[in-house]
Amino acid sequence: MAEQLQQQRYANEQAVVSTQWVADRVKDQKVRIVEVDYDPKSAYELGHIGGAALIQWGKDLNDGVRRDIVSPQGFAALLSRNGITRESTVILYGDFNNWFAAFGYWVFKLYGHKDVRLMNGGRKKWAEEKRSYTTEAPKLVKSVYPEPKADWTQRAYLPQVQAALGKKDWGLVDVRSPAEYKGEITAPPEYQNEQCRVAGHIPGAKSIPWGKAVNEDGTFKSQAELEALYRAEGITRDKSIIAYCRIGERSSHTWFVLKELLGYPKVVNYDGSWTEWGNAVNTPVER
Amino acid sequence: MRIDLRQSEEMCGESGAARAIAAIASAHRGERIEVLSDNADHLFAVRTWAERHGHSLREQDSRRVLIEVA
Repeated sequence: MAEQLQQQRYANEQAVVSTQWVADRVKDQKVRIVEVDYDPKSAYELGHIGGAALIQWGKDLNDGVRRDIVSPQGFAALLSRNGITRESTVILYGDFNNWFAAFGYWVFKLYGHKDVRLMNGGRKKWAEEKRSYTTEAPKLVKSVYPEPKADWTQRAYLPQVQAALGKKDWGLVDVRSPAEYKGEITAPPEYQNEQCRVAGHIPGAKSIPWGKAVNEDGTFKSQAELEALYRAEGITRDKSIIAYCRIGERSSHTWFVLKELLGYPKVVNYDGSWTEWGNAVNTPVER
Repeated sequence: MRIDLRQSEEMCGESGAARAIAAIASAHRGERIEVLSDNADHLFAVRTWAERHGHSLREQDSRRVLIEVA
């Protein structure tokens, strides 16, 4: 009950649901539970919530050739394969602290899916509570999901970020680790394809690592705590806010917090993030 | 061998669970691998994978598992 009350304090009450809410609806035909993983071999394939479909961040939510999110046609095909209709209530959760589920949420919103929600705490919270997992494949009945029109107002491209530099009515949030922000590293050594020519951060960006928005169990902090966190760094609702990280998934998590939990009116996710900025020619860098 | 996954995903690198699983997969018979994590899902993944591959779970609590390699 305390958790439910806390959820109601968020700006968009429906954007996030508790693990108990999900557990109560695993057999509800109107609710489609979807696990969004970066590494399904270490997550979904070892056990998932009963009936949950799998969306893989790499191959399902991204374009297979160029660097971009999945196309409208690809998105429609993906949701059709997973038995999702325009009317479905879609619950997303996943590995890696729900970052990739938050990225999925952002993509669902870009493509105008009305009822998509994030399970608070993701796999971490579900496991912490010792809730049951299954390895049974879900019984999915293919649907016909229409090709959506994209709403790019939730997304920032490089020129938009460049144009925002130095403007007082814009705020930049760097949600990476302090070591990445300070330019001590560009990416962990095992990620060769995410290394950059230069290290550092976008000038004027405030360092607010994604993890500051969550409790120890992975659930979001209260609205009051979140307001205080961002306000202390000058990231306020009267500004247009750009969130970025390295590839756009941790920043989706922060975009979700600012947009859905705090109700900031103008928030965009710069998914090009540091792997674009740190490799681009003639972009200013701070350390 | 001890593998400490606490704070392992702050930077978005390789999955902590995948790192522990790879270490168990390459360890020698009889070797004991202790995995520490503040993420219950890491421990679930390591425990489930190890048992599925015939390794023994020797000890566990909410922040730690100890696997003996078969």
